[in-house]
Amino acid sequence: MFQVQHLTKRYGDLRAVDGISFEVRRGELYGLLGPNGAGKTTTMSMLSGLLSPDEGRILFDGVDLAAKPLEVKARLGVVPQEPALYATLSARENLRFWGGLYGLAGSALDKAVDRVLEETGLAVRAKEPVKNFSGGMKRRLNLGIGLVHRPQAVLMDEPTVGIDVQARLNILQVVRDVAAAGTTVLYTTHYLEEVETLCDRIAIMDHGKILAEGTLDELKRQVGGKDLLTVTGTFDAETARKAGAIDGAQVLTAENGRLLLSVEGGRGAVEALTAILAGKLPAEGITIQPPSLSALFLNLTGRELRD
Amino acid sequence: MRRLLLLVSKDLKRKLRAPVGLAVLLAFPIVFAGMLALVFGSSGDSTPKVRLVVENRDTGFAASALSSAFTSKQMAEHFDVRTVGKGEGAALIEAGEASALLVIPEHLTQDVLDGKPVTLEMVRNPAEGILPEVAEQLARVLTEVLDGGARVLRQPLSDLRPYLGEGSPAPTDSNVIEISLAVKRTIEGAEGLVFPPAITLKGAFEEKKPEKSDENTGSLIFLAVLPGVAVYALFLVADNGMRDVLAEGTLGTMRRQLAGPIGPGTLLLGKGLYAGALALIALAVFSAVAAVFLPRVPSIPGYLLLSLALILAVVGCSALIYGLAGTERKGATFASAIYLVMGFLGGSFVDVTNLPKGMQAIAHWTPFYWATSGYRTLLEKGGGLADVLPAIAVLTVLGATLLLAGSVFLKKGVARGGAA
Amino acid sequence: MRKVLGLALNDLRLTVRDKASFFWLLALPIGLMAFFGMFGGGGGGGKARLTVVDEDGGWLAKSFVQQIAGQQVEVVPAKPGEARVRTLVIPKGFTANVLAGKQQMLAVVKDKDADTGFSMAAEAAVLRAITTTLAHLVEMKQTGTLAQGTPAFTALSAREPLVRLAVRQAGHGQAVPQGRQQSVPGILTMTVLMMTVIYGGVFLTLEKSEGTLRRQLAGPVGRAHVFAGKLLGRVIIAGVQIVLLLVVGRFLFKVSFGHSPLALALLLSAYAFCVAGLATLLGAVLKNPEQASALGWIASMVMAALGGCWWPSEVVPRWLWKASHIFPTAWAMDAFHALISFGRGLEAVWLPALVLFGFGALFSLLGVRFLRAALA
Repeated sequence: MFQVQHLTKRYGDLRAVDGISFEVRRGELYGLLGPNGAGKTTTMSMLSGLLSPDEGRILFDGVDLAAKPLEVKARLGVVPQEPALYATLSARENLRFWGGLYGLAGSALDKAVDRVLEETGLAVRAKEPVKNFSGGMKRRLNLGIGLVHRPQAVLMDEPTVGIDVQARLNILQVVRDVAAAGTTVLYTTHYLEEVETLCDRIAIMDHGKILAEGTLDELKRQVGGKDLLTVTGTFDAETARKAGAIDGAQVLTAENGRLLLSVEGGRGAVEALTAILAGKLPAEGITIQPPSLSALFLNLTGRELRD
Repeated sequence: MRRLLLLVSKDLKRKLRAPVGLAVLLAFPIVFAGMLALVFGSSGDSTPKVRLVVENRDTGFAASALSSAFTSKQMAEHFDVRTVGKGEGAALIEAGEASALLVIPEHLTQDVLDGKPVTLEMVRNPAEGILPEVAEQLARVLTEVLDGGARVLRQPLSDLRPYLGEGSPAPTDSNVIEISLAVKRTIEGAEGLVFPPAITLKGAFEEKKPEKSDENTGSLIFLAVLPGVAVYALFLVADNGMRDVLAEGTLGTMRRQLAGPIGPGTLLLGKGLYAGALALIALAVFSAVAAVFLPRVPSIPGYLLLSLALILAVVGCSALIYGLAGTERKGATFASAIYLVMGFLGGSFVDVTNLPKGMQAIAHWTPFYWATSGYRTLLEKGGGLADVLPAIAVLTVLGATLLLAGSVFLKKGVARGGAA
Repeated sequence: MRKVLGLALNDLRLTVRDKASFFWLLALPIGLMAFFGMFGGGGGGGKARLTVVDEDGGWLAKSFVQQIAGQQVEVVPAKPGEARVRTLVIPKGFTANVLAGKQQMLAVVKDKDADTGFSMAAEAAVLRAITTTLAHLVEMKQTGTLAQGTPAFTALSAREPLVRLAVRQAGHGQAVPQGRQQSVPGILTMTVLMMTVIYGGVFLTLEKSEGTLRRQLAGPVGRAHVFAGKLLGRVIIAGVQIVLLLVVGRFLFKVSFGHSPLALALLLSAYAFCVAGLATLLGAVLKNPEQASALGWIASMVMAALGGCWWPSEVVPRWLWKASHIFPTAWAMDAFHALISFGRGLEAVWLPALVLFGFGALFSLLGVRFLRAALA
């Protein structure tokens, strides 16, 4: 459905997006995972035709977005990170406007609006002005607007930021339903658990580049089935580095007060830990994490996703 | 076309849901013009009366004649005279309770008869502008009459004097004949100059009354003031519309629209039409209010074309301002300042003819001037289409030029706002 | 007290950070003072202009024209192409006809937009000139000096009159340029009201909607202290604006604000408190900045116009002048006129100041009540 080829966007000397290429297949729920500042939103802006790339191109079902932007946009849905709603209009009025903008009219528009109101659980408060909605309700409406015209593909830019757990679960369920209905979804987030539970395929992005791409299992295998051993305590970086120089362990981070090692799962972790403690490293806390995306991210970038 | 209508109807709906700002802009010209009509047009008076306090300290005929001159039938239309006792006038004028105080001194009559110099005193209220001047000028007229009379009737007055005081002897028959002859000779001498006066002033102190009995001053003032202030308000109304271009950028809805199957040009056109629609609504309200006070139906083609040209001008102005400003806040500040200055210079609040010459020349460069003078021509002077064609032409050309220029800058801003 | 001051200074900081505040608080009022100061009425900066066209040119016509003058009546010769507000034409043959006893009717032709009050002053000046001229002519005829013409007429004009009118101004005020006497205090009163009410209302509604006010109330500051801080902030901003405009009025526009700095300080403190209270009331009652801005603006314009900020009270019908004292602006203007025009002191200002303090107290109390309700 989507083919992104060598996409680049520069702001002066900064390469916000640095030559990325990926493909999103029809009906796929594709996740773009990365910390804040990774380039996800810039990528989404280019995919939705709001920003022109400096290099590369974007094809949607074989149609070049740069050549026929309106044709492509008519088939896309967009769910921006910040709810873009008209506060003084009601939920129904918002949906009618956006649906109309995407070409719906008459009874088709009416039906689409009713459908979205049901799917997002907003039917009961459809006539209320949006300014009276809670944050979660606004996010649901924000999502619904992106879907009212039954797009072939939807771009969702961190749609669950800043809402409570229940509201997030509701939105994630809607996203699953949308994907299950055959709509292609490109979903960006910095929440690991979302991509782990939602996405068919995931790309990990940082500093404008895609570092890894694949299904969850494929990505975990990239970590090599290794565990992540974290030791915290009162020691300096040099001491940490020396302590981490153990056979079978790879030092991911050695800094003041923290040592991260990638070790073989199970017995390997125990052996590494024994060696470290025998070296009299003044450890105060130890955690062992099984292979995960977090570990992969750490492996690839040397830092945690939330750093 | 459908999308344009959708954009305009969406924005109009939003505005109607939060109508306070628009309502205030619609109310302002009506309230303002109404206020001025109330202040300057109540009871059919266009000029307030001169409040004159007369402190008459003399009991003689000269003092009485002076005092009663201000209360004559003609003067009573313009003077509100209050006579007070000795020493009471000062407190009133110091408290600002009068435009002027006239003190007629003791022994005025006696001194005039004696041919001695005498001084009347006038104290003006410094907080008032022109009414004290009116009082002073008229007081000077009366003192001139008294002075002239004292000199011209010198001889008969001298002859009369011995018989006027208390306890004075009664004049004899020959005294009376002598004095009468002296007066007669004086009058004969003044014939041709004073009886009747050789120089007269026609229509002095006459106010211009409304031409028709059903016109009242308040309505005239309302209609005179409303066009200028309504034009000013229209610019602010259109400002509301074009400002929304940048406001939606902040809201994020601009970006979302641009992510949809709609180009920046269409969006901008939609906003322009929205601003125009708001201006049209405002014009309709102002026209309806003005119609209540109009003595006659103005030229409809002239009114319609002038209004359309004005709508184009107001939309063009605000498009350029917001296109150049870049942010909503800056644009709102610039717009408010520019419209206020242009409003004053262009005759929205003060008649252009009252401005110094240099400023009158500048006024012609403002769309406010052309719109205000155009409407006044139609509504006050009963002009026709031909009389307002220059105004229509200027507003149309100006509006189209500003709109074109503004669109170029706004389109960049819109595209930027989408990419933000 | 420290917390109250902190809140107040925060408001001041927020206002000053708004770059547009320099324009609204200072540049615009100064511009308006200059603009309105051009109008004392009648288009002549306070004087009634009378254009005289002497078509006769004889000695009597010239002497007559010289008699037309007044403190506020300006006689100007006719210039081609120049717009005329009032015109007096001395017809051809005026001198000969008057001396021959043939009646000459003059008329002051007024433009339809000519101010009526100024036209009356001009006509009165012409009437006085007619009276003087005729009196001189009668005396010249009596003494047989009519044939001498101008020298005899001039001699009569130059002598001391028997009956004279001595004119002075009430009070002890200094003479100020015409127009500015009204515009400087009027615009100061209006713009301080307008900007305090709009800025104050807008900022308070913003704080309500953004939640910062609620946060302040959740802190270790009593409700009364928070409100006092808001009020004090507005008073300080109004005070700063007042001081700056006073300086401009004094040194740029040469308006003396009277002989009593204490009276002036009392008046302006009371006024600042009053407008600050009104600003806080509006901010408490209204829901959003747009409402605060719009209603603050129109309310200020109405109060300014009816309160005498735009035109001298003499042009207003007495009943309306009295009724306008429901607005604080009317009291402020009354006090300004007493100080500036009459040169009076504390005795003239204490009552308006008391009333203004009363207004401020009322607005503040209502503001607290509405704010409490709004945040409940």
